[in-house]
Amino acid sequence: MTWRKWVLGLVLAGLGFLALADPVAERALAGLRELMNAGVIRPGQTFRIMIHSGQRGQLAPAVEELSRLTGLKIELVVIGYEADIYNKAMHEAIVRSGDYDLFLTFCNWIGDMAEAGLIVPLDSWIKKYDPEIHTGPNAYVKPLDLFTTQYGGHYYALGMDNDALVLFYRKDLLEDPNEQAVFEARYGRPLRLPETWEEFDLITEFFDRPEQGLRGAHLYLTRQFAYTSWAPRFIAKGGIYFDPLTMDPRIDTPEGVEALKEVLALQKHMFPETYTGDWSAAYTFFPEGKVFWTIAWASLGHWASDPETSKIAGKVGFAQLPGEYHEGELYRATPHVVGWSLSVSRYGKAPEAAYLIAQWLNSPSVSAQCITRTGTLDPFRLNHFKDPNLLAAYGPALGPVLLLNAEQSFPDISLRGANEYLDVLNLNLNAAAAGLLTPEEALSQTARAWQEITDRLGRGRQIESWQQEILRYPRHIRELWVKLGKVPPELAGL
Amino acid sequence: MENKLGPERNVLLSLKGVHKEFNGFVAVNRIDLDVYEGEFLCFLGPSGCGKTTTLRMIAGLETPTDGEIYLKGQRITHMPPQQRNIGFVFQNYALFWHMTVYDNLAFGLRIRRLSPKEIDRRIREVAERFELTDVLRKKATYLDLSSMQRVALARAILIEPYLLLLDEPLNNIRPGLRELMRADLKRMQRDLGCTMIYVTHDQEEAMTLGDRILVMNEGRVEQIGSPLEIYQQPVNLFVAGFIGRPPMNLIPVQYEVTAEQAWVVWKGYRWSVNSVKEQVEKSKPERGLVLGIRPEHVRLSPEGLGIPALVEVVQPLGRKDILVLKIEDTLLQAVVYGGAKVREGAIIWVEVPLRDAHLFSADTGRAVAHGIG
Amino acid sequence: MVCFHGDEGALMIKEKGKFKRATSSIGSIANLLNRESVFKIMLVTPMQLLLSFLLVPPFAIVIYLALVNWQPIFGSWTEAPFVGVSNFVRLFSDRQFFWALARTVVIVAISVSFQFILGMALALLFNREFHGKKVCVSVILYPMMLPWVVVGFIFYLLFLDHGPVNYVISSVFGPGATVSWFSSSVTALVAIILADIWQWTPFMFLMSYSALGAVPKELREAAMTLGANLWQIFRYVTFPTIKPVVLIALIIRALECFKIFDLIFIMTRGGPGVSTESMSLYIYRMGFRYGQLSFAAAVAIVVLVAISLVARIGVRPLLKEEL
Repeated sequence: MTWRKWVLGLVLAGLGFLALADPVAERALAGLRELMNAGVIRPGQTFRIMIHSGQRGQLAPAVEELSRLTGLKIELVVIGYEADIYNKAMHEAIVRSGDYDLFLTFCNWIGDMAEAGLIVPLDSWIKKYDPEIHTGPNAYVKPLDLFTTQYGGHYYALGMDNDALVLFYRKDLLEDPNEQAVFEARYGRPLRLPETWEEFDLITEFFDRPEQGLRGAHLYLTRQFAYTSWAPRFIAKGGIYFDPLTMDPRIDTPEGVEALKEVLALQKHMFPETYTGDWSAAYTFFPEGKVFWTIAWASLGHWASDPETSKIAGKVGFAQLPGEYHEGELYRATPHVVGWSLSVSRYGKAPEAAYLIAQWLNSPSVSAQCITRTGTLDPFRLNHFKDPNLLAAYGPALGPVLLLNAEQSFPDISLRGANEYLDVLNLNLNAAAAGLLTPEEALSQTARAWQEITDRLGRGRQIESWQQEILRYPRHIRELWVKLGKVPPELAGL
Repeated sequence: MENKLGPERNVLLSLKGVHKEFNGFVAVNRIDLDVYEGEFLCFLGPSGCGKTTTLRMIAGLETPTDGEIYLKGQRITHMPPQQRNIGFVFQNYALFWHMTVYDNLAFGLRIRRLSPKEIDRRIREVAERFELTDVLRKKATYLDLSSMQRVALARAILIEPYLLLLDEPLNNIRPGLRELMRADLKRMQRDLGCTMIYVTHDQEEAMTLGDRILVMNEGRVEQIGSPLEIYQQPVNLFVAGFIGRPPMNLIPVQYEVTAEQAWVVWKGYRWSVNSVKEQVEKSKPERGLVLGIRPEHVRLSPEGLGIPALVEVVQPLGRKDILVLKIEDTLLQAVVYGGAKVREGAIIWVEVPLRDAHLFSADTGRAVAHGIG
Repeated sequence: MVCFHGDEGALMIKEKGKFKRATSSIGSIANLLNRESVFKIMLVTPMQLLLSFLLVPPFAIVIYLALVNWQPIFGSWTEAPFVGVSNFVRLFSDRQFFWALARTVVIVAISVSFQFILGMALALLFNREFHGKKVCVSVILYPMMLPWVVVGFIFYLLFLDHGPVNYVISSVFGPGATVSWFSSSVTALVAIILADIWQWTPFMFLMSYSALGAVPKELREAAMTLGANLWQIFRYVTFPTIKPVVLIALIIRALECFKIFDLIFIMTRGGPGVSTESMSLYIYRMGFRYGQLSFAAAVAIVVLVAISLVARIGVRPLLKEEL
C-alpha cells in the first residue's frame, strides 16, 4: 500500500507544477502575491484551516505545496469528531479569538455560521477572482454549485465535496439469469435497476434471504441519518419541507406519511442495526456480502471494491436512486447529505488572503489531486469526472453514476437552526423505526417541533431564507413542485 | 446461687489434648484441663504463652488444630460461638460504641427474643447491682474506663452464660483503681456463683482472684492448683520463679554425701538434706541441684550467726523493706518487716530456714522437695 | 538577635540576654502572620481565589443567559433581549425535560443500589485473609480505572444484536430468546445500567472494604459470643459502624451517576428517538447541538436547585444521626 502512496506523491509533486496551468489556481496565487506585495500579508504568516480528520490525508500535501509556493505557513487543525467542529466554530463565533482563518464544515451549517457573524460573505472576491463555480468546463456539478456555496442570497463558501448518495447493489445477483427468471415469474415484471421506489421495495423483498445470510437492504434509520432514507421518497413524491409562503411544515402530509410507511415496511427485510447501529454499519454489512443493496456515500465504493476490505469485490454495481412517476414522467431525487465546504472566518487576520487560499485548494486541478487521495472529499467539479487518475481511484463505473446522482440531488435543510430541524426530524424517525411512534405521530410531532423552532428563530427571516433555499433545489424538483401546486411559479425560479 | 467448692464438684468444662498451631508455630501444646462449676480459675503466664489462645478456643473464636472441648458433657470443639452460651469480656471491652449502654446490655437478650418487658426487668436489676443505672441512656463512647468494664461484664452476665471468660479486662486500669475493681469482681463472682476463667499475666492478680491458678508457659500447662499450693509447692523452676514478688532466690548447689549425712553445698555453706535424702537421690543429683528460698523467708539472724551479707540496696516500702544482699559474689533478695533499720553498705547476718527452702533439679527443673528439714 | 516562637506562636526576640515579644513593625507583622487564625486564612487564600475566579464569573453568566433569549446564531450575547422567566416556563412545559429527569433518577436509584449491595457483599467476602487476596482485589478494581468511553464502547459491542450477549442467550435459551437491546428504551437502559454497575461497583467495594477494615475484630467477636448470627452481626454491629463512610460513598456516587453522559452517548446517543436521554444528554442536545444556550442555562439552574434541595432535605437527617 505504501509504495502506491509514494508513487502518487511523486506524480502529484510533478503535477503540482501543472497546477500553475490552471487559471483558477493561477489567479489565486497571483492574488496572494499581490497582497504580499501590498504588505497585507507577510511571508511566514500563519493561516489555520479547521478540518475533520477524514480530510487530512487529502489536504495535507496540497497545503504543504501552497505553503512552499507562497512562503506562507498554512496549517491544518484536525478535529476528530464531526460534532466538535460545529461546537468549535460556534465557540469561535463567541470568543472571536482569530485562531482559525478557514473552516471546512458541513455545507448546511453555513446558515448558522453566517447568522452568528462568524463567516464573511464572499460575493466580491468571487467576482474578482472567479473560482469558476458555475461556468466553464471545470464548473461544479449542478446543483451543487448552489447549495454548497450559498445562503440567504449570498456566497459564503466554496464547496469541496459531493455527498450525493449512491445506490450500491450486488451486480452478480441482479444480472444472474436464474434470479431474473424467478423474479419475473413471481412478480410479472423484469428484474432490473429500479426506476421507482415501489420497484425498489419489491426487489428488496425478493432478495431478503435470512436463511442464506442475505438480507434485502440496509437503509439508514439511525439517530443521525434516518432522514436520508425518508427524504428521497418524500421529495420524489413531490413533498416539500416547508410551505414557501408561511414556513409551515409540510411533512405530515400524505407524501410524508406514505414515504415513512414504505421505509418502515422494509424493516422486516433489514437488520435491526439500521436503527440501533450507526453510519458505519452499512460499511460492514455490504462489503461482507450480508445485504443485497444499500444507499450510502460514494466512499463505500472504495471499501466494497477493494479486495483487501471486501468479500464482494468485483461484484459491486452502482446505480441511481429511484424516484416516482408523475404524469408519465420519472422524477428521481437523491439526498445530498453533509457535503464539506470551505468558509472564511471574519476574525482571521487576513480574510481575503484566506479566501485566496481556499480558492487555490478549490481550483479544478488542485481539488482533483486532493480528491484522488483517499478521504471523505468526493468529486464535485466536472473536470473531476474526466480525470483518469481520479476515476481510477473510484472505479470507472462509479464516476458516471455519481455524476448522475449529483445532478439529481437535493440539499439538507440549510436554514438557520438547520441542526435543530434535522435532529428533531431524525429523532422522531428513529423513534418510529424503533416502534415507539406511529408514522403519523412521528411526522406530526416533528412538524409541531419545527413550528416552535421557526417561531423562536423568527418566522419572517426563516421564510426569506427558505424561499432562497428553494431556488437551490434541482430544476426538475422545482418543476414538480410547480406542477403539483406546492410552490407558486414566481417563487420557483424557473 | 450457691458456691460449690467442696469436694463434690461438677466438671463444667473439659479440655482434652487441645492443640493449636499457627503455620508451624505451636501456640497451645496438648492441654488437658477440667474446670469445675462455680470456680474462679485464672490462666496465668507470660505474654505469648498461649493463655489467650486457649481462652478463645473455649469461646469458639478460634478452632483447635487437634483435641476436643466439652461443655457440660457435650462436645463443642467446632461449635460456633453463637451457640455455646459462653460469655466473653474482651481486653478493651468491645462495647458497641454506637449504641447506648442500655442497648449494649440488651443486645444478647434481644437476640434471644425475650420480651421487652423481661429485658427491661433484667437490665434494671443488673444495672443496679453494677451501679450503672445513671448511665443507662448514655452512648457507650462517653463512659469512663471503670463504667466500661462494668458494662462489658454486665453485658456478658446478662445472657446467663454457663461460663464467663475474661481476657485481661483490668489491663488498662490504673493501679489504684485496679485493686478496687479486682475486689469487686471477686465479690461478684462469689455472689453470683458464676464460673469464671480469667486470663492475666500479673501473678499478684491471679493469686488474689483465683480459686485455682493454671500456670502456662510456651503453650504448656506448668502447674494447676490453688494459690497456696502454687506458692508453697511450685512444681518446677519456672513456676517457682514466676510466682512471688520479688521472685524466689535460686542458688545452684552441690550434693554431697559424707558418712550417711546428705548435704547441699554452696560456697562455704552447707545445709543438711537428710530428711529428703531419698527424693534427692532419685532425682539424679549429680546433674546439679538448685536451692530455692523466697525473699520473704530469708531471716535476719543475730550478729555473728548464719551468713554474712553486704547490703547493696535498700528499697523501703513502708511496712516492709526489700533488700538486695550480696553474699560472696551472688546477689540475693530478702524481705524484712517491721522497720528493721538496715542501712546500705552495712553487713548483716541472714539465715536460710530449711523448712521454707525448696530443692529443684538443675537438669530437668522439676521440684525435688519442698521444705527440707 | 535570635528569633523563635514562644507561647501561642508569638515571635520572641532575645535582646540583652532577655526574651521579649517582638514589638518592632516587622516584628509585629511577623507576629500577625504567625497567629494561627491568620495563618490558616493564608493557606486557604490561593485556592480560594482560584476557585472563585473559575466558578463565580461563569455562574453569573449562566444566570444571565437563563434570563435572556440568546443563541450563537442570534449574534452578540451581550445584546440579547431580556425575557425574564420565559426560558423556565418553556422548560417546565417540555415533556422531554421531565422524562429525562425521571429517567436519570431511575438510573441513579437502580444503578447505585446495585453497586452498593454488590460492593458491600464483595467487601464482606474479602474481609478475611486468603491466598491471592491482593491479586483478587486489584482485579476487582480494574473496571474503575477504565475511561467511561471505553466502558461504553465495550458494552455497546457486547449488547449488539449479533453481539456476545445475544450469542450466549441464544445458545442457552434458543435463538428466539435474543433481545434487540438497543431498539427499545427499557432494554437499552438495562444495558446502560449494567455498564455503570460494572464500572463503579469497585468504587463501592473499595469504600466498604476500607470501612470494614476499620471495624475492630473484637466487636464482631463480642456479638458472636452474645449469640448473634452473621446477618445480625452485620446489621446491628458492622453496618452501623461503617455507616458514615458508606453514606458518604453513596452520596458521592449518586451525585456522579446523576451526571451520566458518556455511557449513554456512546451506547445509544440517547436513542432510539430520545428515549434513553439522561439529564446531561438533554442539556447537551439543547445547548450544544441546537445552540439554545439560554434554554440550556435555565435547565442547568433548575437541575442545580433540585439537587441541592434533595441533598439538604434527604441527606441531612441521615448524616445527623451519626454525628
